Amino acid sequence: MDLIFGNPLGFLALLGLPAVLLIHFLQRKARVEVISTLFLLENMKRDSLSGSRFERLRSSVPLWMQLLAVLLLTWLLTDPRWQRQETVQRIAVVLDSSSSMAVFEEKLRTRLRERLESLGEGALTTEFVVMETDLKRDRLYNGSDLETLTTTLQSWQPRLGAHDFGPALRVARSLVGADGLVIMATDHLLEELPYEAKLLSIGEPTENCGFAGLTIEEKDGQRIWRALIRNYGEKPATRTWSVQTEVLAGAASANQSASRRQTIEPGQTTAVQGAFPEGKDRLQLVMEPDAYRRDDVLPIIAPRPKPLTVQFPSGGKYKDLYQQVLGSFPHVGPVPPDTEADLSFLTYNPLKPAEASGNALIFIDDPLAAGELLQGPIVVENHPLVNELNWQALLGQKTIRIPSFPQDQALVWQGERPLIFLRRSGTASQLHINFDLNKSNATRLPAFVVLIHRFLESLRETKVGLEAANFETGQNLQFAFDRSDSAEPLTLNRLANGRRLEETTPLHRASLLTAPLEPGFFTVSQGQNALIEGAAHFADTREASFNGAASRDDLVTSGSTVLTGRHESDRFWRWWMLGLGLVLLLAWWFVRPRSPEPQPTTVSG
Amino acid sequence: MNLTTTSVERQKIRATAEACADFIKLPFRNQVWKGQAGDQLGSGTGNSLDFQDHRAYTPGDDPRHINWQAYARTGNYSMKLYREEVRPLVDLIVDGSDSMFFEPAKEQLSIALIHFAAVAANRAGASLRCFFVRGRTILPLPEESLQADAWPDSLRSMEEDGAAEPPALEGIPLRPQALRIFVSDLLFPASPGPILSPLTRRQGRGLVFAPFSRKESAPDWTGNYEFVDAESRTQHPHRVEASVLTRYLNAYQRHFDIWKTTTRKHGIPMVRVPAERPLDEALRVEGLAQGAIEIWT
Repeated sequence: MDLIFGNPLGFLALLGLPAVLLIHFLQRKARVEVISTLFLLENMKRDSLSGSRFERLRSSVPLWMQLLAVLLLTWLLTDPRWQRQETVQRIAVVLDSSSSMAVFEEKLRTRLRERLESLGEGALTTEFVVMETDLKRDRLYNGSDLETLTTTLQSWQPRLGAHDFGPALRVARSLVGADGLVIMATDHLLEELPYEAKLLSIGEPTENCGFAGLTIEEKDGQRIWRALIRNYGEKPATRTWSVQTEVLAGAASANQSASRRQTIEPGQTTAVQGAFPEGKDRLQLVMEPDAYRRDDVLPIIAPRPKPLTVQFPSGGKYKDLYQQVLGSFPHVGPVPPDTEADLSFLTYNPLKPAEASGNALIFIDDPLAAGELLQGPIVVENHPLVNELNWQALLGQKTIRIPSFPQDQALVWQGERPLIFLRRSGTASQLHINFDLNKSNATRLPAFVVLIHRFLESLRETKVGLEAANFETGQNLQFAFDRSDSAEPLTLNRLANGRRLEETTPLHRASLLTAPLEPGFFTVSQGQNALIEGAAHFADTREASFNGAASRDDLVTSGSTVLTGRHESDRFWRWWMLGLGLVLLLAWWFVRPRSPEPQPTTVSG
Repeated sequence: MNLTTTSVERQKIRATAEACADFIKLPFRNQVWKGQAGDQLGSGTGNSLDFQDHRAYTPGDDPRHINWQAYARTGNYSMKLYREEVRPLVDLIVDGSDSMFFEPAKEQLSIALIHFAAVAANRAGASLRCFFVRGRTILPLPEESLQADAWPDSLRSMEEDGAAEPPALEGIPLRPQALRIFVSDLLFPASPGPILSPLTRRQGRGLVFAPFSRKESAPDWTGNYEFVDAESRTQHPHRVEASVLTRYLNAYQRHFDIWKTTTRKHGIPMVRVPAERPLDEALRVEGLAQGAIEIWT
C-alpha cells in the first residue's frame, strides 16, 4: 500500500530527538547534599557515578519515554496517508482562449505537461479533461494518456478577446466533481478563482506594438483610411509597416507599398492614414511581426452600405419634396427603371384613398389647409423611432387627416390627433406623417430628420442585399437574409494562411454567425447572393497589452490537497494520540518531584 | 564539625532527656554488679536485705545473721549471707564523628541520647564516665562538662585527621564490669566485630544506641547529586536512578543486619533510635524488645 506523508514538514519534529538526548546528556544541575552513608554508595560506584553516559542512557526510563513521544508526535504531524485502492483522480484543465495566450503556447505546453505528470503520480488512474474557456468549442481532450493530451495541445489556438472564465470553470468543476482538481491555465494573475480552481499562470511581460483602431471617412470625394498604432510595451519601439493592395488566395506576393518606419514611445499611440488606391475598395496594412502577431495585420475594406431605392410620384413638387426630405441621406436614391423600389414616397389623397403596398413614407398634401395651427400638447410614445427626440417645437396647420386603424402604432400625438404613426403591412413598414409637411416646420426640425433616418436604417437592416463593412474579429454578424423555407444556408468564405476556407451555417444558427477570429477578408453569401463583404481586424487592446502578464503556479501548494484527496488518513490516529499521552504520563511519573518529608520532632511530653 | 543547635536548645534537649529518664531507665537489674556501695545489688555479700547464701558460723561473725531455723533443724550454727548493695559503673562512649551531627534531626537525637544515658545513669546511682571517640582520638569528658554544656567545644577540639576511620574503642580505659553504652550511628564500613569486642571485655556489658534519620534510611534521591561526605567533606558526583536508590536501600539494610547479627552474637543489645519520633517513643521502638531499656515501675 502506497504510503505518503501529507505534511512532510512534520518531520521537523524529529529534531526533538537530538534535543531530548542533549537534555539528558547535559542533565540537570546536580544538587549538593551532605550525607553520612557515602560509603554505601561508593560500593555501587559502577551504577551511580556520573561518568558513564552510555550506561545512563540504557537505564533511563524517562529518556526512552521521551524519545518514543517524539517519534509518536512526528508520526502524527507528518499526516501519514495510504492510497485508496479505488482511487481515480480527475483533473480538468481549462485553457484561457484569449488571443494573448498565443504568445505563451509553447511555454504552457511544457509547464502543463510537467505539472500533470507530477499530479498523476501516486494515483492508480488519472483522468484528464482539457477544455477551453470558449464554450462554443468542443473539449480538446478527455482521457488518461498524457502523451495524447500533449499532442492535442499542439492544435489549440486561442483567439478570443477578453472574456469571463466563470462559465467554463463551472463546467469543469461539474466534470471532475467536488474531489477533482480544476486547473485554470492563463497568462495573467487571477485572485480568488471560483469553484476552487487552481491557477497556473505562465505569462511574462512582453513588448508588443500593433494596430489599435481604424476609421474611414470620405473627404473631397476620396475615401481616406486612418489607423492607430500603439506601443503597449515599456520600451520605445520602432516598427516598419507597409500597405498591401492585392490580397488573394495563393498569390505569391501581394502588391506592397514601400515600408515605412515608425518609432513609438512606450504607452503612446500614433496615427497613420492614407487613401484607397484608385479602383481599389480594399487593402491591408502589414506591420513587422513581433511576439504577438494578431495586431500586426489590419485588413481594411471600403464600407458600402446597402442602398435604398425610392419610388416617388412624378411631378416637380414631389421631386422637390423628396429632395427636401430624403435628399440628404446617403445611399438613398431614385429607383432605377424596371426595378422594385425599397421605399415608396407617397402623398395621401382623400379622394383616392388607395392603400400603399410595401415600405412607404406617406404624408398629407392638403391644398385647402385652414391656416389654423394644430392645438394640444405634443406627446411622444416610447418607440425606438422617436425615443429621446424633442417634438415640442413642431408647428403644423390643421389639415385633412389620414385615417388610422387600431393596429397602427402612434408615435407622436398632438391632442387627440396622431401626428405620426407607423403601420405594418405584412413585412412592410409604412410611416405616416399625418400633417402637411409644406405647412409645417417639420423638415427643419432635428427630431423629424432623425426619425426619417431611423426609419430608413430600419428598412436598410431588413433589406436583403450586399453590404461591405469592417468588423472586429469574432464580432457577431447582424444582417438580413432570405428566411423562407426554400432558402439556402449561409456560407462564410475567408482566407486563412493563404488558403480559402468555407464554412456553412444553417439558417437556424444564423444568429451565431460571427466574423472570423483571425484578421482577414471574408464574405457571407446565401446561395449565389452575396450578403456581406467584410474585413475583420483585431481590436481588443486589452489582449494586446502584456505588461500585466505574470507567472504563478498554485499547484505547488495544491499538490498536497490532491494527494490527500486520493489517500486516506491513518485510521489509528486516536490510538497514537492515546499512546502519546500515556508515554508522556509515564515519563512524568519517573521525574515527578517527591512530596516533602515531614519535619522531625524529638521533644516528647 | 559545626553544631546547629544552640546552647538554649541543647538545654531543652537535656530537659527532654531528663523527662524521658523519669520513666525509662537503663537495664541495670539484669546484671550482677560489683563495686562500691550503691543502690544496686552486687554479686558479693553485703548488708542489703536480699538473702544470697549460707555458710558455717565462725567465731566472730555477727550473731544477728545466725540462721536459727537451720540450727533448730540441724543443731549446727550457720550464717545467712545477704547481697551487697553496690554502685553500678557506666561508661558512656559517644561517637564524635561528624555523621552523628550532620543534620539537625539526627544532631538533636544524638544529643538527647547522650543526655539520656547520662541522666539515666545518674538516676540509677551509677558511676558515670564519659568518652568521646573520633577515629583513634579519645576525649574523656567530665560529667560536669556534660551538664554544663561545655562538651561541644571539647568535641570541636578533637582532631579531624582520621575522623573517617571507625572508632577505636580498644583505646578507651573501660572499667571492668561496667555497663558500656555506645552511642553511635554505626556508619562506618569496618567490620562490627572488632569494634564491639571492647564493649564486652573484662566482664563488661555493652549497649548500643544507634541514632538514624530518614535521610539515611529512606532518602528520596533522584537525579544528579553532589554528595558531600559528612566526615571528610569531600564531594562526590552521583546520578541516582530508581534502581540505584533501591540498591542503596538494600545495602543500608544489609549493613545494619550485619550489625544486628554481630551485636546479638556478642550479647550486646542494639537499639536503632529514629530521629523523627519523640525520644521516649523512639527508645521504645526497639529498646524494650532488645532489653536495652526498662520502664520504671
